[in-house]
Amino acid sequence: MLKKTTLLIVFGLLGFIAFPDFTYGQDIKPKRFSISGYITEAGSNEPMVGASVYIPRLKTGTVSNGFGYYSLTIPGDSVTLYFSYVGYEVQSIHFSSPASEVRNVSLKEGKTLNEVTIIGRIDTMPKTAESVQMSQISIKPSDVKSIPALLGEKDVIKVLQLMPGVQKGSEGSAGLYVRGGGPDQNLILLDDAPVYNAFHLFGFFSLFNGDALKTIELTKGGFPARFGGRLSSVLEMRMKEGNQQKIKGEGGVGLIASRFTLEGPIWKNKTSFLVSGRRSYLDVLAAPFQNSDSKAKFYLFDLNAKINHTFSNSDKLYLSGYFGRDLFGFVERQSVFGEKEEAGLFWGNATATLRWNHVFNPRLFLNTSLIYSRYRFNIYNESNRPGSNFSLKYYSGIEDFSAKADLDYYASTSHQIKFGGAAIYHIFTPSAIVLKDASAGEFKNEVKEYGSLESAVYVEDLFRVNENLTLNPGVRATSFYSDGVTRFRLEPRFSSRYKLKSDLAIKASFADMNQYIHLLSNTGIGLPTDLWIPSSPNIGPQRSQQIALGLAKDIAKYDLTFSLEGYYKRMNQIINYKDGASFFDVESSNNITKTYAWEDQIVKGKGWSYGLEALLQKHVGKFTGWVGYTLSWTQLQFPELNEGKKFFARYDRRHDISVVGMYKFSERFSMSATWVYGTGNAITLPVSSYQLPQFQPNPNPASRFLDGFNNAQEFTNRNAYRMASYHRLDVALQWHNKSKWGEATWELSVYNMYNRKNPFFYYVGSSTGMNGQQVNSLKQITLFPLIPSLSYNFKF
Amino acid sequence: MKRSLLFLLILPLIFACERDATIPPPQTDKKLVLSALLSPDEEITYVYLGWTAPIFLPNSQNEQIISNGEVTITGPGGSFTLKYNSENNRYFFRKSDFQILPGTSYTVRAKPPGGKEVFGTTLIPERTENNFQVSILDSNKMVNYDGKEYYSYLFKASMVNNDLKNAYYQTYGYYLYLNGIDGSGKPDSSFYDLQQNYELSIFSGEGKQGKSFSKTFPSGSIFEGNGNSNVYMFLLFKGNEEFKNFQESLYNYDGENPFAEPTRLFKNVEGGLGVVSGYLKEKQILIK
Repeated sequence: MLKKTTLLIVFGLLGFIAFPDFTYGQDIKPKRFSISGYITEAGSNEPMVGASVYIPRLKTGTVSNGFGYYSLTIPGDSVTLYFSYVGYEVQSIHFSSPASEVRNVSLKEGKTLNEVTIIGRIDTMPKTAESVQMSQISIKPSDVKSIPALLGEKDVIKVLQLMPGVQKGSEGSAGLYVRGGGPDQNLILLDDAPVYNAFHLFGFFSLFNGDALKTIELTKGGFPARFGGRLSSVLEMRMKEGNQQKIKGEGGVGLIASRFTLEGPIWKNKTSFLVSGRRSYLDVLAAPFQNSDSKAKFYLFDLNAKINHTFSNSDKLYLSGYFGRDLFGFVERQSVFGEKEEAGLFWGNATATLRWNHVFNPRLFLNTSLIYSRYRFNIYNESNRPGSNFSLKYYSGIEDFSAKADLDYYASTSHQIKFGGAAIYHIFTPSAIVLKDASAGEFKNEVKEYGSLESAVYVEDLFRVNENLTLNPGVRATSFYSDGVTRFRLEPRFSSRYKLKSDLAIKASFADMNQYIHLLSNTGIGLPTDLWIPSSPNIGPQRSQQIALGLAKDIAKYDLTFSLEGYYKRMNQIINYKDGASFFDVESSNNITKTYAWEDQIVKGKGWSYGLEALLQKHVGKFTGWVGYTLSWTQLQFPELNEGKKFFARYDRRHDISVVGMYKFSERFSMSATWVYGTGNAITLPVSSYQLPQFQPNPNPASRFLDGFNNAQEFTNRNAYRMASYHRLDVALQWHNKSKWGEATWELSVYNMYNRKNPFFYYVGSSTGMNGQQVNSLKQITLFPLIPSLSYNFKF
Repeated sequence: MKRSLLFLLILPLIFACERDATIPPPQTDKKLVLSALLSPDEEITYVYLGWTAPIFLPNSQNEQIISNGEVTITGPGGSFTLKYNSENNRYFFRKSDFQILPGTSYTVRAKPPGGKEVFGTTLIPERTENNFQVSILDSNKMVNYDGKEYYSYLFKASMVNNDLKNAYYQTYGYYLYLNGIDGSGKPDSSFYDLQQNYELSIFSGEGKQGKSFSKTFPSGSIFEGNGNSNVYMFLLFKGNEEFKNFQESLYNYDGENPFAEPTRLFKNVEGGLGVVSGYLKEKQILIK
């Protein structure tokens, strides 16, 4: 059945490519011409992603792609095109002579406070009922800057956690759990480069600097065929290109870190650059209080850089990169004997993307990229003493080299076809040890690396059947080569939208996804110790199939959009550590015949997630924000865990509510607040303790086994107990001061305004009772009480 | 290393605050714990019977051992009720009381006075020719401060899996240490572990019929002092699946990491906790 459906989709798409002008009910085709070009922001030439182009007379239109490019092929007649984007003035251009034309358009920022601009039937408010794509969230970087944050550190991922279907892990964590999927099931892309560990400070902050970002888009279902490689979500972020007309800067000083971004032209309207950096300074602040012989070190930093050059209307070249690192360690010196000991851990990502955009003709746009990405986690310990030098380095990580090409073919007003392919060469290093112990004469260099090749080709068609019905069928063919075994998978995708009224639509989607690389984690909170490993001959790819049904409504009168979605997702071959296994064990297999030692440490299972999500959003006006609600269930089943019975995932959350509001009182003063509520996490607690005889054989004749006991605990069924529910209110007040040189903003924010003692984890505490008996009680650890913070931001 | 890393990871908790939980703790009744390792190669077989102690029940941590329970073993040859040994708090039977045979199933049942019965069943592995051998891979001569020569060895214990069913193997190595002369004038000696680390190494015979397995035992620097000897003992255990599952869960058992899922001990006792499993044992003595 599935094969038949896939074949129908493939042949259907091939048919559309071959006969692009075919649409139902059209017998006579007038001559057509194309209008194409880039839509950019006036004043900076920054390409605008998702800007609308609309022809009211033909009731048709398009949106600019991820690089600001648009193309419309329309019947030969005079037409007026309206270009619009929320917060920008609408621009109309009349084309009287029917001839193909390249027309770049610059939109000016609206003079009013983001109000909806209406010209005739054109307004700039985003229309959720218009788009065929469902289960997608777009976040404006300006919203990230407005929403209150822990210690004032603005965080893209924590804003996404406020959306329905997206859940945080534990308190303060920047982990993403999308529709029941684990943090390993999210493909996080920064300028097309995958980021394998997106966290700083043991998961409390993400590594994305909002100042450098232009677009943030999370797809959690209804995946178009161009997306693949992960089961649960694709988070796609694009960095700004850099202002092509004048030097601009922005930055901020917070409690734990500061940041600065500079962008501008190198060659006006041709070449621009952007450099953005962030660094924490806990180590600098702590320096005066530290002993010179014994120092603890902690810092994190990020560096984003981008340069791009426009050769012509047809060719653009971009080079962008990210480099970030966390370091946590200590140094100890003994000045008398010259001894020095240094130990710690550090981890970080590095990415680079070289991208070429080429317009072959007005209808065919190419984006091709060469991409590098690396994540590495290191532990080091060095000791220099007279006559004794010891050095231990342990690291693990993943390194990718990839090439991809994506083509947009604007066949007609009815068909927009996207097709392309990608190949990624992964190098996995689950464990590498370099040991030098000069005094013991020991030298060890064990570096185990595994290479694998992941590749994919796809085709999808945005098919506008008529004014009401739009379809987006597609198919993605993937393969993965590792250790002499090649696996192939065909992934059919389908999305559709049917307009019941001009502002009301129903949507449906289906997506089949495969994930060939796995993340081994026994905490699920995004620790740097989590390990990426490939599918192997014995461990196949994880697979999910998701269906979603939704309703989308635009309420123009109140500038609101509303969406309601139900989804059901089935996951197979998902993996988990065996009870008690951890990253230290991955290369210490007991089974000498295994190539991949980690296979002995993991178990394979299934998962199910289903639920309902509602989102009411106000995009424009003095007051903006949203209310999101999620009702969901997530269950897992592994034959070796929980006696083979189904259990709720740790982050299964029955109810999840988020309320976000931003209000701009005036040009000088604004305020924002968020309130979140979530059902408590599912946890396992001990219920009783007991003794069992030791299992170690006793070689001496007195008794067969040693007489001692092991102390053990009996637990509730896995994740059968619930933590207390989680809720919290955060508030931020912002004062803006505009002057000749630019704008400064002071922000006072309060995290956890009513000081709710949300549990981080539970443990069993013991005390001695009145009669000398031991009394146990359940204790909870709360991480963040009410925390005020002050930050200063500026831009010029 | 593992502990120090864990410390670094939970450092943020130093700034956190602790309080009594606002949710009620989970409650449970006490359960029976039964542990029986059956083998035809042991003169005496010991069985443990005890209670669990519910953590959140006041005064539950009292006596867990059951000394007046009823423990029976049943096999093809009939049943036998075990006696209680108060010296090691175990129930026991001798080879002469009840015979355990390879390739045979046995059920151990236990109940406290007036309580509900729990039981576990296990199949003792078949006896096969394992070619259990010990050889010396390397030796090293050392000279002590008194000019006396000593040797250290690298032993290799090897075996072949000839069992058509799934079997699991484990080897142990020991050296004999002479403690001196006891009060009655007899030499007093004990075997001590040769293992340098306590990694669990179980060789799984699943799908590996005819394959060999070996483990090395470096004798290291044990030859210090006057009690050295030239006697070494090596044991080969051949266990069934319960034996392997329980050993593994015991080795992996870790309740220290508050972020990770707690590990559980394997159990195959119906109505309670604990394990009933079986094994065979072979011995090799090497005198240098």
